[in-house]
Amino acid sequence: MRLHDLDMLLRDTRDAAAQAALKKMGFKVSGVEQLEQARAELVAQVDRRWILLYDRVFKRYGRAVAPVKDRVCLGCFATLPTSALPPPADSDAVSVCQSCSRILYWIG
Amino acid sequence: MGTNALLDPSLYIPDLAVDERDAALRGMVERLHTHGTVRDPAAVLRLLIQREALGSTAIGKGVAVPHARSLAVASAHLVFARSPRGIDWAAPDGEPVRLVFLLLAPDTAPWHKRYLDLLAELVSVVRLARNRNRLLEAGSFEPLASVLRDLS
Repeated sequence: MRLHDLDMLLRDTRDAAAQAALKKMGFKVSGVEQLEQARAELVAQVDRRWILLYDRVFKRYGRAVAPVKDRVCLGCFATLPTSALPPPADSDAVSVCQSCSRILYWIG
Repeated sequence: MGTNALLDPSLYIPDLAVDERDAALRGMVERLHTHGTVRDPAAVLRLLIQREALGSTAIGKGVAVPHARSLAVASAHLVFARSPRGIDWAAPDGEPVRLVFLLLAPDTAPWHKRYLDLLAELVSVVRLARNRNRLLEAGSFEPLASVLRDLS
Protein backbone atom coordinates (compact mmCIF):
# COMPACT_ATOMS: atom_id res chain seq x y z
CA MET A 1 0.00 0.00 0.00
CA ARG A 2 2.82 2.41 0.89
CA LEU A 3 4.60 1.59 -2.37
CA HIS A 4 1.42 2.19 -4.33
CA ASP A 5 0.81 5.59 -2.68
CA LEU A 6 4.42 6.59 -3.28
CA ASP A 7 4.21 5.56 -6.94
CA MET A 8 1.04 7.59 -7.42
CA LEU A 9 2.78 10.62 -5.91
CA LEU A 10 5.74 10.04 -8.22
CA ARG A 11 3.37 9.74 -11.16
CA ASP A 12 1.92 13.15 -10.34
CA THR A 13 5.40 14.66 -10.28
CA ARG A 14 6.11 13.24 -13.76
CA ASP A 15 2.75 14.08 -15.27
CA ALA A 16 2.96 17.33 -17.23
CA ALA A 17 -0.74 18.16 -16.86
CA ALA A 18 -0.72 17.54 -13.11
CA GLN A 19 2.46 19.58 -12.75
CA ALA A 20 0.98 22.47 -14.70
CA ALA A 21 -2.16 22.37 -12.55
CA LEU A 22 -0.16 22.32 -9.29
CA LYS A 23 2.10 25.13 -10.50
CA LYS A 24 -0.93 27.22 -11.40
CA MET A 25 -2.25 26.71 -7.87
CA GLY A 26 1.03 28.00 -6.45
CA PHE A 27 2.66 24.72 -5.41
CA LYS A 28 6.32 24.30 -6.22
CA VAL A 29 7.25 20.67 -6.89
CA SER A 30 10.87 19.56 -7.09
CA GLY A 31 13.20 17.09 -5.39
CA VAL A 32 11.86 14.00 -7.15
CA GLU A 33 15.22 12.29 -6.54
CA GLN A 34 14.51 12.25 -2.82
CA LEU A 35 11.20 10.52 -3.48
CA GLU A 36 12.87 7.98 -5.75
CA GLN A 37 15.39 7.29 -3.00
CA ALA A 38 12.54 6.72 -0.53
CA ARG A 39 10.97 4.32 -3.03
CA ALA A 40 14.22 2.38 -3.43
CA GLU A 41 14.53 2.07 0.35
CA LEU A 42 10.96 0.83 0.61
CA VAL A 43 11.44 -1.70 -2.20
CA ALA A 44 14.52 -3.06 -0.42
CA GLN A 45 12.34 -3.92 2.58
CA VAL A 46 9.77 -5.94 0.63
CA ASP A 47 10.05 -9.58 -0.41
CA ARG A 48 11.49 -9.71 -3.94
CA ARG A 49 8.70 -11.93 -5.30
CA TRP A 50 6.05 -9.36 -4.32
CA ILE A 51 8.05 -6.58 -5.96
CA LEU A 52 8.28 -8.60 -9.19
CA LEU A 53 4.52 -9.17 -9.09
CA TYR A 54 3.91 -5.51 -8.26
CA ASP A 55 6.07 -4.29 -11.16
CA ARG A 56 4.47 -6.71 -13.61
CA VAL A 57 0.91 -5.69 -12.71
CA PHE A 58 1.86 -2.01 -12.55
CA LYS A 59 3.19 -2.17 -16.12
CA ARG A 60 0.02 -3.85 -17.28
CA TYR A 61 -2.61 -1.69 -15.59
CA GLY A 62 -0.84 1.44 -14.35
CA ARG A 63 -1.88 0.53 -10.80
CA ALA A 64 -0.71 -2.63 -9.11
CA VAL A 65 -2.87 -2.47 -6.00
CA ALA A 66 -6.66 -2.48 -5.95
CA PRO A 67 -8.92 -1.88 -2.97
CA VAL A 68 -11.40 -4.59 -2.01
CA LYS A 69 -14.81 -3.54 -0.81
CA ASP A 70 -17.68 -5.89 -0.01
CA ARG A 71 -15.58 -8.71 -1.47
CA VAL A 72 -15.32 -6.95 -4.84
CA CYS A 73 -11.94 -6.14 -6.40
CA LEU A 74 -12.25 -2.48 -7.36
CA GLY A 75 -9.61 -3.01 -10.04
CA CYS A 76 -11.58 -5.44 -12.22
CA PHE A 77 -14.90 -5.54 -10.29
CA ALA A 78 -14.80 -9.31 -9.97
CA THR A 79 -16.39 -10.76 -6.86
CA LEU A 80 -13.80 -12.59 -4.82
CA PRO A 81 -14.42 -16.20 -3.81
CA THR A 82 -15.38 -16.75 -0.18
CA SER A 83 -12.02 -18.46 0.31
CA ALA A 84 -10.20 -15.16 -0.37
CA LEU A 85 -9.29 -13.51 2.91
CA PRO A 86 -7.15 -10.55 3.88
CA PRO A 87 -3.69 -11.61 5.04
CA PRO A 88 -3.00 -11.31 8.77
CA ALA A 89 -1.95 -7.78 9.69
CA ASP A 90 1.37 -8.93 11.12
CA SER A 91 2.38 -11.00 8.08
CA ASP A 92 4.32 -10.05 4.95
CA ALA A 93 1.95 -12.02 2.74
CA VAL A 94 -0.29 -10.33 0.21
CA SER A 95 -3.51 -11.48 -1.42
CA VAL A 96 -3.98 -11.30 -5.15
CA CYS A 97 -7.11 -11.05 -7.26
CA GLN A 98 -7.50 -14.33 -9.12
CA SER A 99 -9.22 -12.51 -11.95
CA CYS A 100 -6.83 -9.63 -12.72
CA SER A 101 -3.73 -10.42 -10.58
CA ARG A 102 -3.80 -7.06 -8.85
CA ILE A 103 -2.55 -7.03 -5.28
CA LEU A 104 -5.54 -6.56 -3.00
CA TYR A 105 -5.90 -3.98 -0.25
CA TRP A 106 -8.91 -4.72 1.93
CA ILE A 107 -10.89 -1.64 2.88
CA GLY A 108 -14.22 -3.11 3.84
CA MET B 1 -19.45 15.87 -5.20
CA GLY B 2 -19.70 19.21 -3.44
CA THR B 3 -17.71 20.35 -0.47
CA ASN B 4 -20.62 19.69 1.87
CA ALA B 5 -19.81 16.02 1.80
CA LEU B 6 -16.18 16.77 2.67
CA LEU B 7 -16.92 18.96 5.67
CA ASP B 8 -17.71 17.72 9.12
CA PRO B 9 -17.79 19.73 12.36
CA SER B 10 -15.66 17.08 14.04
CA LEU B 11 -12.91 17.78 11.48
CA TYR B 12 -12.58 21.41 12.51
CA ILE B 13 -9.64 22.26 14.79
CA PRO B 14 -10.07 25.89 15.88
CA ASP B 15 -6.90 26.10 17.93
CA LEU B 16 -4.04 23.95 16.67
CA ALA B 17 -1.59 24.30 19.54
CA VAL B 18 1.62 23.25 17.79
CA ASP B 19 4.52 25.19 16.26
CA GLU B 20 5.86 22.64 13.78
CA ARG B 21 4.53 21.47 10.45
CA ASP B 22 4.90 17.74 11.09
CA ALA B 23 3.18 18.00 14.46
CA ALA B 24 0.31 19.87 12.80
CA LEU B 25 -0.01 17.20 10.12
CA ARG B 26 0.10 14.46 12.76
CA GLY B 27 -2.69 16.10 14.75
CA MET B 28 -4.88 16.50 11.68
CA VAL B 29 -4.30 12.94 10.46
CA GLU B 30 -5.08 11.62 13.94
CA ARG B 31 -8.33 13.55 13.85
CA LEU B 32 -9.23 11.84 10.57
CA HIS B 33 -8.27 8.48 12.02
CA THR B 34 -10.60 9.04 14.97
CA HIS B 35 -13.27 10.11 12.49
CA GLY B 36 -12.87 6.79 10.68
CA THR B 37 -11.60 8.28 7.42
CA VAL B 38 -7.97 7.18 7.68
CA ARG B 39 -7.17 3.50 8.23
CA ASP B 40 -3.40 3.75 8.59
CA PRO B 41 -2.47 7.13 10.08
CA ALA B 42 1.27 6.42 10.16
CA ALA B 43 1.34 5.64 6.43
CA VAL B 44 -0.72 8.70 5.54
CA LEU B 45 1.42 10.97 7.70
CA ARG B 46 4.56 9.60 6.05
CA LEU B 47 3.05 10.25 2.61
CA LEU B 48 2.14 13.83 3.54
CA ILE B 49 5.68 14.48 4.77
CA GLN B 50 7.05 12.99 1.54
CA ARG B 51 4.76 15.34 -0.37
CA GLU B 52 6.13 18.28 1.62
CA ALA B 53 9.66 17.18 0.69
CA LEU B 54 8.76 17.82 -2.97
CA GLY B 55 7.93 21.42 -2.11
CA SER B 56 6.06 23.15 0.65
CA THR B 57 2.27 23.06 0.40
CA ALA B 58 2.14 26.51 1.98
CA ILE B 59 0.92 28.94 -0.68
CA GLY B 60 1.63 32.19 1.14
CA LYS B 61 -0.57 34.69 3.03
CA GLY B 62 -0.58 32.36 6.04
CA VAL B 63 -2.25 29.44 4.26
CA ALA B 64 -1.15 25.83 3.74
CA VAL B 65 -3.06 23.20 1.78
CA PRO B 66 -1.41 19.82 2.39
CA HIS B 67 -2.93 17.11 0.23
CA ALA B 68 -2.61 13.46 -0.76
CA ARG B 69 -4.42 10.51 -2.25
CA SER B 70 -3.98 7.19 -0.53
CA LEU B 71 -5.42 3.71 -0.43
CA ALA B 72 -5.47 4.16 3.34
CA VAL B 73 -8.12 6.87 3.03
CA ALA B 74 -11.69 5.60 3.06
CA SER B 75 -13.43 8.71 1.74
CA ALA B 76 -12.49 12.23 0.70
CA HIS B 77 -12.48 14.70 3.56
CA LEU B 78 -11.20 18.11 4.44
CA VAL B 79 -9.75 18.94 7.83
CA PHE B 80 -9.61 22.64 8.59
CA ALA B 81 -7.35 23.94 11.35
CA ARG B 82 -6.45 27.37 12.61
CA SER B 83 -3.23 28.17 14.39
CA PRO B 84 -3.38 31.47 16.26
CA ARG B 85 0.36 31.24 16.97
CA GLY B 86 1.31 30.39 13.40
CA ILE B 87 3.33 27.44 12.12
CA ASP B 88 6.64 27.49 10.25
CA TRP B 89 5.68 25.78 6.94
CA ALA B 90 8.49 27.04 4.66
CA ALA B 91 6.03 29.31 2.91
CA PRO B 92 7.17 31.13 -0.25
CA ASP B 93 6.55 34.50 1.43
CA GLY B 94 8.04 33.36 4.77
CA GLU B 95 4.82 34.03 6.67
CA PRO B 96 3.83 31.60 9.42
CA VAL B 97 0.79 29.53 8.53
CA ARG B 98 -2.41 30.25 10.44
CA LEU B 99 -4.92 28.45 8.21
CA VAL B 100 -4.40 24.81 7.26
CA PHE B 101 -6.63 22.79 4.95
CA LEU B 102 -5.76 19.12 4.77
CA LEU B 103 -7.37 17.45 1.75
CA LEU B 104 -7.23 13.68 1.67
CA ALA B 105 -8.88 11.51 -0.93
CA PRO B 106 -8.97 7.79 -1.63
CA ASP B 107 -7.03 6.49 -4.61
CA THR B 108 -10.16 5.24 -6.33
CA ALA B 109 -12.39 6.58 -9.08
CA PRO B 110 -13.59 9.31 -9.42
CA TRP B 111 -10.94 10.83 -7.16
CA HIS B 112 -8.00 10.22 -9.49
CA LYS B 113 -8.96 13.38 -11.37
CA ARG B 114 -11.52 15.02 -9.11
CA TYR B 115 -8.91 15.42 -6.41
CA LEU B 116 -6.82 17.95 -8.38
CA ASP B 117 -9.93 19.84 -9.48
CA LEU B 118 -11.12 20.15 -5.89
CA LEU B 119 -7.67 21.20 -4.74
CA ALA B 120 -7.66 23.97 -7.35
CA GLU B 121 -11.11 25.16 -6.24
CA LEU B 122 -10.04 25.18 -2.61
CA VAL B 123 -6.89 27.17 -3.37
CA SER B 124 -8.87 29.70 -5.40
CA VAL B 125 -11.23 30.27 -2.44
CA VAL B 126 -8.49 30.78 0.14
CA ARG B 127 -6.49 33.08 -2.11
CA LEU B 128 -9.17 35.74 -1.62
CA ALA B 129 -8.34 38.00 1.34
CA ARG B 130 -11.99 38.40 2.31
CA ASN B 131 -12.40 34.62 2.54
CA ARG B 132 -9.24 34.24 4.62
CA ASN B 133 -10.48 36.94 6.99
CA ARG B 134 -13.86 35.21 7.34
CA LEU B 135 -12.11 31.93 8.07
CA LEU B 136 -9.82 33.53 10.65
CA GLU B 137 -12.67 35.34 12.38
CA ALA B 138 -15.30 32.60 12.34
CA GLY B 139 -16.37 31.80 15.88
CA SER B 140 -17.77 28.38 15.10
CA PHE B 141 -17.88 25.71 12.40
CA GLU B 142 -21.00 26.94 10.59
CA PRO B 143 -19.75 30.33 9.33
CA LEU B 144 -16.48 28.89 8.10
CA ALA B 145 -18.28 26.02 6.40
CA SER B 146 -20.36 28.58 4.52
CA VAL B 147 -17.15 30.03 3.03
CA LEU B 148 -16.15 26.61 1.70
CA ARG B 149 -19.56 25.42 0.56
CA ASP B 150 -19.30 27.47 -2.61
CA LEU B 151 -16.93 24.88 -3.99
CA SER B 152 -18.71 22.78 -6.55
